[in-house]
Amino acid sequence: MSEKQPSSLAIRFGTIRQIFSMLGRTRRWWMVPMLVIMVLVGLALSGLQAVQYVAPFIYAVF
Amino acid sequence: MARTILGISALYHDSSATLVVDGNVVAAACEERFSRLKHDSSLPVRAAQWCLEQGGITIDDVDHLAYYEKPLKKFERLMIMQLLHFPKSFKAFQRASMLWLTDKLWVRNNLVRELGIHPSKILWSEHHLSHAASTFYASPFEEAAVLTVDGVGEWATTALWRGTPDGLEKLHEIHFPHSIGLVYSAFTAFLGFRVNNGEYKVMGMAAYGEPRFEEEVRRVLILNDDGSFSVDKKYIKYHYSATESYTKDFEELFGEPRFPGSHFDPTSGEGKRLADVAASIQKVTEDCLVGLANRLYEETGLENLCMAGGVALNSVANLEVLTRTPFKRLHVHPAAGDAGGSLGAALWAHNEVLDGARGEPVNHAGLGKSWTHEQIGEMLKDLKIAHEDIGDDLCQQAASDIADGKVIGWFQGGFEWGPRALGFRSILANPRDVEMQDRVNEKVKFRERFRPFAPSVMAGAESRYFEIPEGAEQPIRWMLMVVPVKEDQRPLMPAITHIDGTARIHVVEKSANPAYHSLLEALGEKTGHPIVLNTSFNLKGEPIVSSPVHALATFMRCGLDVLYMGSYRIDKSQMRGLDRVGETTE
Amino acid sequence: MGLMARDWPLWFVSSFVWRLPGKPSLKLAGFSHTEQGSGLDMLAATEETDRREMRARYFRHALDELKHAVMFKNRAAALAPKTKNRTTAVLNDAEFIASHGINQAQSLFKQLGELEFLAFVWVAEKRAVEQFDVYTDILKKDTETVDLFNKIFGDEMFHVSYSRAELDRYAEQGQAQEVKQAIFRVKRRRVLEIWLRFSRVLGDFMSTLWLSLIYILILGPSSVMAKLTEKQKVGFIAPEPVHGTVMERAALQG
Repeated sequence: MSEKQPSSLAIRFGTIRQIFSMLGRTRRWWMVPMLVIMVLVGLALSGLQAVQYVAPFIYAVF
Repeated sequence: MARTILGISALYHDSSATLVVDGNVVAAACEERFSRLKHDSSLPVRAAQWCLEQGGITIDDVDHLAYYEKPLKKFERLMIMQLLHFPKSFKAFQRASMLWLTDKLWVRNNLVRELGIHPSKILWSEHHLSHAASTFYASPFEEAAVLTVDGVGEWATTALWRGTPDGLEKLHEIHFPHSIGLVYSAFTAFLGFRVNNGEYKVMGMAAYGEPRFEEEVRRVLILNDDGSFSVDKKYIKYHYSATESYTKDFEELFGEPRFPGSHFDPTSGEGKRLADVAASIQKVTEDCLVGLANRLYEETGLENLCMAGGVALNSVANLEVLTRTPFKRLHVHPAAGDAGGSLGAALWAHNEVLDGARGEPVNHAGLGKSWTHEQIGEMLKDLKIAHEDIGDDLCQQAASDIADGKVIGWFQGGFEWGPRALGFRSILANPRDVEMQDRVNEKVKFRERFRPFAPSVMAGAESRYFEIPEGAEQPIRWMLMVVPVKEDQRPLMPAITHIDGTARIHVVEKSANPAYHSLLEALGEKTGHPIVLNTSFNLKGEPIVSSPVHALATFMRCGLDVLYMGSYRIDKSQMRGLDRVGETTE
Repeated sequence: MGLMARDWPLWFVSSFVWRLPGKPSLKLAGFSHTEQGSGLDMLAATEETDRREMRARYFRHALDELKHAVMFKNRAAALAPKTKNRTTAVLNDAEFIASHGINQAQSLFKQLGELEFLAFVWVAEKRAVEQFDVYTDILKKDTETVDLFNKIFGDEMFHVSYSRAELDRYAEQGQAQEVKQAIFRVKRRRVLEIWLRFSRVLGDFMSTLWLSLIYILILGPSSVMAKLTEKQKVGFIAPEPVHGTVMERAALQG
């Protein structure tokens, strides 16, 4: 029987936690503010980039 | 209970999936063979699904998914490099960030979503560790020194290891941007070939030149006395540029770069200069690898050497490493580049994380999907392609066709693991025909003229034709070593003898490929020479064929004379129904 | 081709687009990838269809598309300037097909099912014929490119006619309503995709803008810290000491 999958957001937060604990291990704390902003922007951009379109057989006009 | 691990490599180039059960490889395939996109780097969903089908299991039965690298470490390296090269890294930042922030950073999410694996089951290897595991655990060696060399993983571009029954111990590494692989790729771009695709062409071109730019190359790639190396950043740009790998200073050393696609003759004029540049980078790369290997020998004292990473696909350098170092035996894995990462990750997980018993070495390359006699027959019938089932006469008939000067397609068993065609999906012809190289090039492969073709020879007969150094038994099984052709044989096998008298040989053991071995045996009986010209069954720009439909589509679009699929023979001169549509040249 | 009703809005837009410097070779390079992707979809259909009688048709169609891909590629390369140019980059772009949504993790045939796949092919090929008709008119002076389109036109008409014939066969077998609905869904999706493509372009623009701001305002100052603290390591580096159990380390993505 398969285990219940955590939500997509929970998995993302897990990854984010790992980013920051990695910075702690490598003592690159000064990167934290930069990465906080980048990760937030990344989450927003993921939404924009999630637009999937199917383009086979299409000869672009522009 | 059987322990099942699915290995995955993806998102850079040549993504792949491997299924390992109790330490043994059950199935392995690159995604490109399914998607038909060369060097496909997307998540290998199709390859993974097939591996599971082959194992008779679903994703829920998989104990662990082993991913071949640590993506967050790679991201950290990317960010730091961009910071260190601010503001030159502006374009690279935009390009890389878009990819990472929207996709590559969330690989865990993607694996869960696309493959249905539970996130707690995912194990994360390291890039060079995956390379090391792919060659060591797939080798027949209990103990070995291991050298992994590529473009770059997380931070490491090169790593030296000791492999023992206790596992892999890292001794040293060299960090980005000091990278043999990326410097070689810079020269590949300079010579007008596609990076991560054209490096073989540089190798082939090198034989036409003299290393008269060796000193200049050594200003770029500096070899140190302790066996390590470094790269002078004055000449490179790949560590901060999105699109360019070398600087104007580099061009001042080596001259005008070649425009991609432009014609040139490596034997004269401008082409000779380019060939000399190729020869120079090849020479320095060889010296560099020999230096690293010698250092490894000094530290380990072990007789066996395993190599992996994209640079280990440099089969000319592999000969140098074996013959110029004290190592007695060399093993290079057939998918030594990033494709092998999935295998390495799975074997690492089994052997080191789960402390499993070591499995059998990988003995044959036909680990991919196969089609039954019935499936092939049904497809031929439905496509209305004239064919005959020749049953047990397969090898005799194919040998006759080759001896008669025909160029044949050979489709048998499961497709190959790795970039080499090893007699499962091959185009075969008579290497002793003086016109064969031109014919195969013009009718089928449409390649640059300076690129040689390679031979497959029946095991036991190789010493008749080639000078094989001791300890080369493993790499020559996977077509990963270039060796000298015997002097008296060179004029007799022009199609597979390169300008410098060498050939990249493939020795065929019966256990590795029974059908192919039988074909060579039959050819030997017919002509006295169990040796054949073997090139990959694909057209330029496309991956090697995988299914009967792909094979037929390729067959119809080029000048192959006959196609053998299983025991079916399709003779183009007798085709009815479907026209020879689509036959085209480049 | 001149007997067909011409798409005049397309004609006006394309008259402008194809006159831009370097545009014809770039367009043809893109068409080459489109044809290659279509060929791959048709090969997949050949393998995946349950209707064995359709395999030969799909296969023939696939060979046509793959042949067209080479023809477009050769013409694009011939028209491209012999110095660094975008056309060469597009032709060499191994990621083009995947990044333009042309070939995805699941084949088009599997995504749509046979009936809707045939509707898709019919609508798409009909549209292609209309587009090519416009292009041959616009490019009158470039006789070689016009010749190319004329050669392809015959094959495309075959694709239009066999796919339509199959849809008619479904209709005759009592599935007229399903055929109509499938065509409607395909046409609706094509309209939606114009919007999606535009959104994607807009999204890319916004992303570029945000990332540029981040680069200047955030990375700029951070780069000072990086240059002060990061020590570039040369030559052999000893491996970092390991902490925790092998399983604990294996659970980390970084």
